[in-house]
Amino acid sequence: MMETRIEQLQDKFLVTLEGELDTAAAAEVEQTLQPLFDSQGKDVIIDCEKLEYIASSGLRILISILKGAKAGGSKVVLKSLSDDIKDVFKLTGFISLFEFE
Amino acid sequence: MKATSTRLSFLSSLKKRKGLLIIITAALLLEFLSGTQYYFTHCLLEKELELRAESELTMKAILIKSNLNDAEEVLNLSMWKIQAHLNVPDSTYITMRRLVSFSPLIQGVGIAFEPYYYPQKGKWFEVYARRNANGEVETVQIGGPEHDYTQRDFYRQAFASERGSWIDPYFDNEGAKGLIPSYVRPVFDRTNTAVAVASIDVSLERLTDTIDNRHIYPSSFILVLTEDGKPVLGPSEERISRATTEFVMQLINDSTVTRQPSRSGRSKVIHFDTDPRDGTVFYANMKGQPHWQIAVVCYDDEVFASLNKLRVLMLLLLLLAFGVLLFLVWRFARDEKLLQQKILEQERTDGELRIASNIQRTLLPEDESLPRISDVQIEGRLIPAKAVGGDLYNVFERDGKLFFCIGDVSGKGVPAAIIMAITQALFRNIASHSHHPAHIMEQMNEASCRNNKENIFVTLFVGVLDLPTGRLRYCNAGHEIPIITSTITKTITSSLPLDAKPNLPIGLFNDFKYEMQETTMQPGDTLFLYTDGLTEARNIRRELFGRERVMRLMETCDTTDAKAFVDNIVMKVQRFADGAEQSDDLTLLAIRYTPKEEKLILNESLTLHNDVKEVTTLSAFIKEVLARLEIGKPLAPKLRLALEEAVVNVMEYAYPTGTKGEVGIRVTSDGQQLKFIITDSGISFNPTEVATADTTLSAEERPVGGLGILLVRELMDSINYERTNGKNVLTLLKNVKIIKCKNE
Repeated sequence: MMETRIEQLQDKFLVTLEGELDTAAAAEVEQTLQPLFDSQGKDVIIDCEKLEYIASSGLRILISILKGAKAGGSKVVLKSLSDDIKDVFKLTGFISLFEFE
Repeated sequence: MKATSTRLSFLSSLKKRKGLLIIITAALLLEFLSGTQYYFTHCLLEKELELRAESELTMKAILIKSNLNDAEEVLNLSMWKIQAHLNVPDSTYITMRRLVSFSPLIQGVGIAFEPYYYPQKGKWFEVYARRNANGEVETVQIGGPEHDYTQRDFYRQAFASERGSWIDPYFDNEGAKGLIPSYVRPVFDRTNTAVAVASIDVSLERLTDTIDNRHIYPSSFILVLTEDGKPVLGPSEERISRATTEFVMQLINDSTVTRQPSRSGRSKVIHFDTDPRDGTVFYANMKGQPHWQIAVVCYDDEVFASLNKLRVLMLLLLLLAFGVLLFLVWRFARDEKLLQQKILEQERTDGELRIASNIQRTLLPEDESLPRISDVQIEGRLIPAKAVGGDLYNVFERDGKLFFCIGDVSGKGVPAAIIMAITQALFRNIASHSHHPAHIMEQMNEASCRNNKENIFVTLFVGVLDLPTGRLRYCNAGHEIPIITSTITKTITSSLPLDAKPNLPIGLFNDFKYEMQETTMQPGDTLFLYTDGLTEARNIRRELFGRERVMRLMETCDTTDAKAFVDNIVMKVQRFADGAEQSDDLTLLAIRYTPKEEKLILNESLTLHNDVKEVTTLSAFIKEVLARLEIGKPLAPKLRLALEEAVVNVMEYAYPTGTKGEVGIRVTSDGQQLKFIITDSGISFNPTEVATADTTLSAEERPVGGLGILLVRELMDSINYERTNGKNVLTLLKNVKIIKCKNE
């Protein structure tokens, strides 16, 4: 089960991910986060405090957001990532791609 | 290498120096000997010269004397006739003429009477008969006031002595018209009163002829001088130049010129050094009248001609000897060098052997590196021969399968060792991307055929044993057929050669098609692989160990332990060889399949459709199972993730798009290992051979796929894929100790 919220501010996007982002939920989440794929130069801050689980399909969504942000010259920050998910990021090498808070 | 070549050249130069020293000493000795010989020969020739010269002088003197004596005799013997016809003055003409005609030696004969002896003839009456230029005898009366012979020395001398005497040659314008030696004597009448002077002139020409033939040396000549050094006889001007003759004369007459008595004392010796020829003059006084001096001149170059020739010969011989010696020394040095080179070569070969055996030793799996897996016992042994042979073997485990190979490189020494090293590396590399023995073999063959000018081939056997199922896939490339032994009971075993096609060794034809074969190993079976070092081991009687013996050996050997088994075979071979030298590498590899019987404490299944939406069901399922096993964070989410990724992979790729299919999931645990077994009946798809994502790439560079498999590999301990009965079976394994399992 996933809950996804986007808040568009003047200079950035605030995203909240809550729940388990498994392959089943990925399609819907991708659709919701579609606008972020081209953030038009705005930073994207993703609050992952309540993100309990992420599978490779979820990781792919994050990569797409990152590619778009980089193309626009902005960054993607992941906030409050849990240790378990940080391990997954380490295994896939994502740990060096994103910024964390 | 450099050090030894320097040492080599130093040694050879030392020997060369010794050799040269010997040659130089020998040459000096020879030179000394030849010098001594020269000196003695020179002395000898000098003695010989003196002998010859003096005998020449003696002989020529005798010849001259005898001619002079003849002339003397002619005149003396005619005295009675002259005396008898004294009263007939005109008879003198006839007498004179006859006397001249007597011998060509006589140039002229004359008789000069006392003044007014014949009153009718006047005061002066001298009849002279001579040979003229034409050789005719003409008689003349030469006495007259212009020629008052009574005042002349010859006349006076003759009257003074009562006998005849020879007078020095004087220039006689009237009579002989030349420089001639004369013998004069008084003529006595019956009353023994001297009434006239008779003279006989000897032809210098004739005299010269007698002495100017036959020379002791080619340019030698005789010179006859008067007592006071005036020339009498000499060589013809054609032969010896006037200048030379005068020069010699001068030498004899000049008292300042040094002269020595000869060794015998019979002559005097003058050495002269003139350009271009040096020489020696021997001269002596002729005994008796006319007290002439006779000299012989000899040139050094002719005297010592033979010596000089000898000298040249000696020099040539010396050079030849020198050359021969040099040649011998050079040969000796070269032989030494060859010997040294041979020794070096031998050392090099030995060195190579050491390198080769080091290569082999380093690359073989050490006992520690052999995989320690509970499902198999592995024992490998390689006993190299002295001339390292190029045997190889390798065993490693990957994704729940045991990959192994055994091989034999053709040839020996370093080249074989290098190919062996390459083949090992090739196997490890290729077998980590493919679990299909035929594919592995084909790729190895292709790689081995590349850059293989010497056509070094390798016999090889490649096998892949699937540990969960015992499924053995293999491919042979010209190698010894392995033997598979089944233990029926502890004492009864059955050994059979594996049903393997021979095919061709790798490295020969790069498009050869290799076929895979398969069988199944039962628990307890031992697969025994070996190289021809075993079958072709010889004993001292040159008998082969042979395959038969190997088969029989298998049947009698205890195969309950791989290590014991190999040890036994090694011992039996070495006993068979009985001290004979090992000619080839001996390699043995025993693989015993000992799968543990699974005693499961958990065995749960779930079937899903190939729809990612059903992942929710999967998540619930796995959460429940893990909770039962009391597996919590941080392991539980990881296991869940691994399972999800693997299942999603199958869902997305196993079945063609649009097709509905099933995916079976089974979770088991035997208390030691947790297994996820995912089955589907889709297309044959091996996720373990998909390249995993490169985690070092940047975001832009990342390709889309590969993450899932990466996560599965990282999170689980091993992945095993098998295709069995038309189904893909993927087994994920994690070593997790479960103490207890809560039952549902």
